Amino acid sequence: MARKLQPDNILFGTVILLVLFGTLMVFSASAVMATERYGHSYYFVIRQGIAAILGLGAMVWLMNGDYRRLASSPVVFPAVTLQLMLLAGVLLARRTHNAHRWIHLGMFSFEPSEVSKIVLVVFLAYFLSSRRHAVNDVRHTLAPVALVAATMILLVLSEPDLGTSLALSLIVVTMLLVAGLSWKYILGPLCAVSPILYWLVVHVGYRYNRLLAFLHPDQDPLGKGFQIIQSTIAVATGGLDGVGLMNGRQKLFFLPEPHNDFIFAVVSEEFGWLGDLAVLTLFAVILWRGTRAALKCQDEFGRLLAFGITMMLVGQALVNISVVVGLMPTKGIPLPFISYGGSSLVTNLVATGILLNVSQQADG
Amino acid sequence: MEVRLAEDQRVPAWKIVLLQYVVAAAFLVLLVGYWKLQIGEHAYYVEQAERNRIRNLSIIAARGRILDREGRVLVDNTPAFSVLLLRDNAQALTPARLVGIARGLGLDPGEVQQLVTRTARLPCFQPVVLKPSATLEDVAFVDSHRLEYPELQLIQTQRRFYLKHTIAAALLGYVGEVSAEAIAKSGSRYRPGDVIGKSGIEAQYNAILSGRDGMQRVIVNSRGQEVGSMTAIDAHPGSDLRLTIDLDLQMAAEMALGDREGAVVALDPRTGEVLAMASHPDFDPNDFARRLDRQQWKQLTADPAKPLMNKAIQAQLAPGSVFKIATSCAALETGTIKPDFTVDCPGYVNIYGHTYHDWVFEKGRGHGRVDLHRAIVNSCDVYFYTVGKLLGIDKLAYFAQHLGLGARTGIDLPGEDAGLVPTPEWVERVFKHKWFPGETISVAIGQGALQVTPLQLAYMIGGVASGGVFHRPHVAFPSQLVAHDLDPPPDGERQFPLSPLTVSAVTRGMWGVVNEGGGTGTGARVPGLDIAGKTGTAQVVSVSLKEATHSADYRNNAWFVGYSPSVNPEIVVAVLVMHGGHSTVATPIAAAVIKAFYDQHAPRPPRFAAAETQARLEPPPRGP
Repeated sequence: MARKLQPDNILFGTVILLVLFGTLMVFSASAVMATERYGHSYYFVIRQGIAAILGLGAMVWLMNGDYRRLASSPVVFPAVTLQLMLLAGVLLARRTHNAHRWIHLGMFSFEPSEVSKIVLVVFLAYFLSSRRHAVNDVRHTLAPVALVAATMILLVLSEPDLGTSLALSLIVVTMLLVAGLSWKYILGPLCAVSPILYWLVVHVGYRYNRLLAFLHPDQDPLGKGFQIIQSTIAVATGGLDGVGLMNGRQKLFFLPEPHNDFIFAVVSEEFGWLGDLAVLTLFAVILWRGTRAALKCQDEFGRLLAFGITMMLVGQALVNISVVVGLMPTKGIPLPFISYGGSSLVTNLVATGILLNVSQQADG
Repeated sequence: MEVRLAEDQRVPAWKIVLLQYVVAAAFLVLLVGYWKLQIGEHAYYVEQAERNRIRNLSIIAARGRILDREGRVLVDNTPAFSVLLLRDNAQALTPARLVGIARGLGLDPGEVQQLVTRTARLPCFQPVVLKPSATLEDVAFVDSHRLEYPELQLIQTQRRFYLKHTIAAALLGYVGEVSAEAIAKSGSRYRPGDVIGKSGIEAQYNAILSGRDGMQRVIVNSRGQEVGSMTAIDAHPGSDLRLTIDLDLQMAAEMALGDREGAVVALDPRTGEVLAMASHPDFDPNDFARRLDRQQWKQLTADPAKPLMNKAIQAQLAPGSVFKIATSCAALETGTIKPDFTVDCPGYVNIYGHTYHDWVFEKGRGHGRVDLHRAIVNSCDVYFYTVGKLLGIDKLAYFAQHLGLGARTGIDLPGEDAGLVPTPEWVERVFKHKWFPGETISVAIGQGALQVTPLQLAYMIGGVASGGVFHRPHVAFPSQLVAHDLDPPPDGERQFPLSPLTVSAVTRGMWGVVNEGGGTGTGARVPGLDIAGKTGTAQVVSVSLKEATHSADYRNNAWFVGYSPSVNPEIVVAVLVMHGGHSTVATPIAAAVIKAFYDQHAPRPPRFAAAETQARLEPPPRGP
């Protein structure tokens, strides 16, 4: 039984490349700001490096395990309960940066909302695969799913962490979709949320207009529009091949959180369109290998799991990269593997570890 | 393991594939969008980026005020301007332009060039302070050269304003631009051009007094005009600091000291609170706040009278006869003599084959037969030469040290000096020879290698008159330090109990100094006040050289330490008049300060006035 499985080297290498590149970019984006805030330029990159090592360790460990062990009630339900408790607990904790988002453990702090993404994927994969014969059973399938997902999303929303709740919604919708949710359940809510979508589109249009009206920044230089203006300038200044690593100017206090949600603007400025192409290609490889693993996987749990993780990773990237140039409203969502943030990085690497495991088991 | 489901119950592959293509298509759309932005509109946005300049402009936080114990303002701030050099267009800062700027602002072109070189590594949006506290002419220059020198910017700042000018200057200290070393040591707390306390209270309590500067990030267009501001961090002003100093006493001390070189320090020996501290000659700290030029600085530092020195804590001189109180305590406490021990004084004495003269010898007489009381009142040297010989240096040094000499008192001011109590070990360590017994004889009357500060003498006399209870002198109320998270200084009280007999003999002697016929300190007498004290006249050089020159520099230093009331004092005042000649110049100064004290506080009735004619050995009634 214990035969040696061939790991998915392509996916593995891609993720390693992204993590290394991300650490480099965190340094480039944060060095000046870290010096100003904390007195030394390595403040953020050291923390990111520690998280990367922890996350890669977890990834390798999970890769060599067996994802099927996750598919059991004694694992999934306690995990979901604990996760909900952590999310509730964080609301009661100390406010930092005007939000209840972190749990502080000595030197480190972590964000339970980031962890909730992988917990939700595992839960949905397990629950939907076990209810495979009756996905559209409102009382026994959809209601429990809605209850867990809605509680989780609402808790995250009230931190407030709009970006992560958006990512969680995306995971729920896509996973229900492939699991065979009936069209009537898809179209119904779609009609319900269409006013909100309309508002978003109009809102984006408004932003775009303001982007063009940059000649009059005095109208609202402090507003949200300013961030988009500044990140768009960063992206456009990059040109084809960028201004070179560490040479970006926009990250110097023009960009909000240059090492975090807007790190892709720094990538664009310093490496240009070719750099963007490279990063998007790496995410496309994740999409390809993830989908391949889902298709090849023989069991329903693994298939949904691989699909959910893939969507979680590339979906976040898609939203983040759109936000940077104002194609979506500014909401805090990190670029997987690249943005600064230990909780996000470790969660994504844990998810990748599971995905790698599904991939090599499906091949084997 | 899960049971395999029938093919039609599995998640359909087409849905997964479809979503994969949807995501891939979105990626392509993004790439196309980024291409349009980065290649198509590149030039347009590069131009936008060029306009995108920010400047960090400091919002200067006001330093806290310094108040006296009654809350009267000693140091405040007044609005002023600083000239900043903007560096976001570094190419414009050519040497030629810098020379023009330096000329216009009356600065040294070399220094300006140095400043630019030194700060070249700072981020370009960080302006540097070119000239703090600009004059009206500077403001006019910047205003009228806006087009020519757009890199100059005025910001409003707070200049330190010392309301009483030279009053308490050495105590209060002065502020100045933070030095390069201090910046390096501070981490990133200080930036070039920041103003910090450099001496005195300003330096000691800089942490309380200095506020936290705020900052405004301003966006400017390509012509340097502000088009908006990004973030603002509010400035937090520093906290006020209330001192134990009483302005009335301080003024009295300063007036009484006048043009003479020296120091006055007044303590409340019950608490250690410093009520007044004056040091002359003085300086005006406002000159520092306005920024000294080199000429002024040279003048202040080259002056042999050292106006910047706080002589109350930094002048280390022989105490002269004031030290006889320490000798008396040592002799009485060790049982070497009793108060009725008498010595016959013909004006000189031969000890160890050497003739030691009394100070009255010059007048061709001696003190006659004196006991301890008379010896203190008339300051008889021969008596204390004899006592010193009986005591020996070890006991003498032990008591001198325990009465507060030879070590810092621990006052909360920078740069306090420790003085020196010579011991045989010290002589062997420094001069590599054995202690000469003759040295002991000199030390017994406060000469020789002995060195004290005015503060130490006030501390010692106050402690002795309080029966051996010493309170660490301080100028800031400890409760204020706790409120600012500064470590409160260690509990100030120190006990070196003296027997009631010793205290009574010594304090009666010091009462006699001021109040009895033939007393050396009668100049300190104030009708209605119970003042006691001890004079001192310390030789600066040998008698022969003094006669040869007669210059003020070689005249004796005059001391007087007065206190009131004569037992358990409420105030003790040490006065040093350098080159004052005789202690009679010092006594009225102390009297003036004590009088100022009792103009506010009801005096206690004189304790010894009625007892003057009584037998002297009866111990006076102890205060509560």
